[in-house]
Amino acid sequence: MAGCSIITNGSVLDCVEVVSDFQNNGRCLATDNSERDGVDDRRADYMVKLRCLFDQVLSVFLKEINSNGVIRPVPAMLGDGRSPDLFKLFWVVRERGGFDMVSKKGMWAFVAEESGLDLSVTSSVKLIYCKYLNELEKWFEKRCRDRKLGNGQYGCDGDFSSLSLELEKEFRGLLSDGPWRNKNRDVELVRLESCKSGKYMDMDIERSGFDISDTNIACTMWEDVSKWHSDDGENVHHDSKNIFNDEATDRVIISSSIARRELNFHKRKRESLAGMLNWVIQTAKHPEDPSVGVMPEPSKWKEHESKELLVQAMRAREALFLRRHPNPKTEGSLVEELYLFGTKLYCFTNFYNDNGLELQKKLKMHPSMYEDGNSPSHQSTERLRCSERLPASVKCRACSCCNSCSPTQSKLSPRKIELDNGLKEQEPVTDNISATNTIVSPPGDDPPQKQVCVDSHLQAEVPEWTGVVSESDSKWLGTCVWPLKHEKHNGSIKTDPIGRGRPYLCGCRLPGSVECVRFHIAEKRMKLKLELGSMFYCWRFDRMGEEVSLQWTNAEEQRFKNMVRSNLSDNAFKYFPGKTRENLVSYYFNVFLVRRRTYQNHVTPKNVDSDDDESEFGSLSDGFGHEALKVPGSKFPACSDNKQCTDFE
Amino acid sequence: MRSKDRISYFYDGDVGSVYFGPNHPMKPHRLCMTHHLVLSYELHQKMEVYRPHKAYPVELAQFHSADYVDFLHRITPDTQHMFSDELVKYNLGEDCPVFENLFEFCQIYAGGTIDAARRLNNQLCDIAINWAGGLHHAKKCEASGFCYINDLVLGILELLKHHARVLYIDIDVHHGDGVEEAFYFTDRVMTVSFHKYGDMFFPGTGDVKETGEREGKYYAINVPLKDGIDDTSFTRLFKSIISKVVETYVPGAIVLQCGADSLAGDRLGCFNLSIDGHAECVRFVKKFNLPLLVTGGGGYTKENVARCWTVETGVLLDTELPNEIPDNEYIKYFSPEYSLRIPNGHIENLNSKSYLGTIKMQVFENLRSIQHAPGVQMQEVPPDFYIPDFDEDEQNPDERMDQHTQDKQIQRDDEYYEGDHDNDQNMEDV
Repeated sequence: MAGCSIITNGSVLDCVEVVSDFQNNGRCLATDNSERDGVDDRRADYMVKLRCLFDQVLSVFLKEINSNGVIRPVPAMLGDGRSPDLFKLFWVVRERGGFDMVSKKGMWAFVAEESGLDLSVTSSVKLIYCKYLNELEKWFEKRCRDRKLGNGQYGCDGDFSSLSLELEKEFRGLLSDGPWRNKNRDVELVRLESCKSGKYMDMDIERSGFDISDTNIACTMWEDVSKWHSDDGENVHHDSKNIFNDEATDRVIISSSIARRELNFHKRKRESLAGMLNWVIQTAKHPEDPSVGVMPEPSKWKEHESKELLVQAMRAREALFLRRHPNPKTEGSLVEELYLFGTKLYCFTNFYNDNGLELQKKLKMHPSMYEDGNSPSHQSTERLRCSERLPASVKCRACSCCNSCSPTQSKLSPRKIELDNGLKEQEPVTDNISATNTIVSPPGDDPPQKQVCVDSHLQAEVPEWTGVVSESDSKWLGTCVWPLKHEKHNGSIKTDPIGRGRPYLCGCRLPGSVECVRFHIAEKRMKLKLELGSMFYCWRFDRMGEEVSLQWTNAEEQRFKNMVRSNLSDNAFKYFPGKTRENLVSYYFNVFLVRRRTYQNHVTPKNVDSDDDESEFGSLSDGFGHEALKVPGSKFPACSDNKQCTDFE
Repeated sequence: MRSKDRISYFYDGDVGSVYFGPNHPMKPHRLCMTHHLVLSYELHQKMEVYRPHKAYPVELAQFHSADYVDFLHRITPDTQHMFSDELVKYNLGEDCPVFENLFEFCQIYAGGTIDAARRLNNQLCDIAINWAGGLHHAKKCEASGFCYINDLVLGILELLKHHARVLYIDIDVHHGDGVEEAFYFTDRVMTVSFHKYGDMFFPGTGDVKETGEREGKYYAINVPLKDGIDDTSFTRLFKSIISKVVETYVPGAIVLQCGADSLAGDRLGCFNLSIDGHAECVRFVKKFNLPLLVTGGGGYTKENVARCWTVETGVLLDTELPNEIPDNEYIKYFSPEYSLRIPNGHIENLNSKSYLGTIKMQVFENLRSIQHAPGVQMQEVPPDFYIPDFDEDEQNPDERMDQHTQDKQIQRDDEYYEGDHDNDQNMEDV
């Protein structure tokens, strides 16, 4: 492969403990314009590959975020429901100098346009970038700086496809290597010189397959901090050699040589941390001290190598706040100790803010922002909760942490699924780690919060509140049916005072008798009919009450009773050719139940239940208009043989 | 004396003939009885009664997935045997049977709640009542717990067109899981549910620890209760929590689900509330004088449901109802006392004072997180210095819009950490 030389194959590792054993495999690949022919073709081809890889990396990255309890649904949706092309978005923003630069210059509208979206979603685009891609970008930038600080050389790789294949292979190799070896950061840096434009185009694309067990991120960050300090940015764990066995031999050689340097590096690390911490304390105590110097802008940090301590501190702060995941076994005590300085660091940053110094925007955030629901306890309890919940609910809501990637999966190549499987295998370990971490609760952190697992696709789409009240539909506000508008209200009807209730006395000969009750109901009904006019029918009052039974013959009524008894209501209308289903239901509620109720009222007044369809019943009268008390058929010899439901008294 | 609030009451006579099937506890006929009782107390003379439009499938699909709505539309008792897979997928069957007029029934009650919300939005009324609605278990893609279409979610979505924040209160004995889930990730809707929790009681969700996620973190409140809670402890708890919630959240409108299965003697419920205790909650919510959408919900002892919702209609109309039920077609259902009040239940109250105190403290603590954690509240709840919505009517619409836009602008800045002014203030607090 002409012109191919492997450049930085830098992997950071932590060899202290097996749990945190990971590798950070960064590579910088550059393409030269040494081969001008066919660059265009290859570029297009390469873009496709890049996109594919980008998708993979992003999904792994998001999955890692998701496992922290911060859910980023995939695909990302703009306010109007569209999904932006994240790859393109990332590309465009990188071209313009990154998130900070674009924000500073107010170029988001431009970015939105460049990404093929319209201006109305500018803010959503920014939000999506911030939520989905910003961290990726930051990581990338760091790698970029690392490379510049380090003695990494640039090589060129003319063969894009082999590069991509290599990357894929590496991805797979790393992820399927073993559940515990879940650290993978693969940083690819591509420099592509476009001969077409003749201009040097910086197409730094970062691929980072982030580690899954967030627990180790803090640790990783620490490595980075130290790495920042070190002159060579390439540290490779000796173990990682295995992974590269199938790769070019020269790489392995490089790796091992780097691994040797790594050992020295580790010895230095602690000292420098201690020095940095002292410096932080000093700074926090005496912010005015001239020796502290001026806080440089993040972008200029690399020029301030003399201020290593400051740079370290800032990195440390970021690492601390960004991922509060102390590693209990390796860096536990150290990290815990550092939490105590967290607040100081924070004040210290504020001090610089107040002095109007521009800091990286992220650093201005309230520390609680960094929590973002990703404390280790969240993760473990979330999982527990999920399994706990399964038997309890009728249909368990799907676990978001397990399912959040499902929509992507459908689009993914089999390779991607394999990747995901690799990730899933690692989950148990993650659980264990995070469970241990719960104990090492950092001071001042929120108490662990249980979370429900709610599938993120089952929510109502709530639009963002714009403050602009949309013109409401005046259609379909319901039809006003009362008070009557078109019909002349019959004013001559004398209505009783509202809500009068029922008079205790009436003029009937036998107050309370069957005739009396029936008379009053009929009276009321007539009054209502007159008052309501057409509404009387609209509200189906004509089909209410025991009068419904007037449309039924005695035989039909008996058949109905038998049918209910034998629980055949499902196909009831088949037994009553002349009746609609509606008729039956109406009869059931208006006549049948009322009669049963009447029976109950008389026989078991203290134990009535008209809502129990199952229990058997008797009947006082067999038809409207019959006064005679009849004991139901011989099958039910005694009325008092009550089998009514007894679920309430 | 007419109540000063304008009340819209929704009813469609067709719901009376809906029948879930034999032995199914849900009986839409209770709506018929309620309406009849409301009319026999002549409450209709104090309000406007509307017949709701039948919600169109596309309206239902504002929340529900289109395929689910379409399936509900197509399925009939005669054809259901051909769709056994779909029935399982959409959780239709035992609890949620397929019956004749199923879709029409859904259209009616959902249409009622949507219409009610629209009338409130257009300020055509102050309180809207739809006793047919309140089916709070229905999920986006499936039926659940006798609920097919979640009219509450649809109504709230409608209200969100005019209000930045909507408060949902649920006093059904069951957890309002469908509504909570629908708005679990948003801070534009706060859901507060008082319900029985534990002993595998349906639907199994609603622990006090479930508080929402993402932007919606702390915007879902659950008050899990045990068997037999009585009027005194329930109303005290309700009032203290709801007043704190309204004070903190400052909603633009309130949706109140008045499931009557929290009454004593309900077939499925296990609380000891009297109708007065239940109605007291409604009275309390009415006092906030915010646009109020009242719906029904559960309730499986028909005559008690009718009693309860009639009393509550009276409460909303500021009308005391005499205890003696007037003569009407269904008077026999109200025997033997023929009275509006129901006897207290005899279920032992398992809610100790200390238990209720703990719950209350936890809820208050979560509410405090809203007040004091700027990181959580950035999205929609405005900062302290701006209290919107209370006098929306009085405000000049243009001015209001500006205020909102400005408000929004500040929030944006927060979101992206650009705003120097109030962000820094927040940081000082720590």
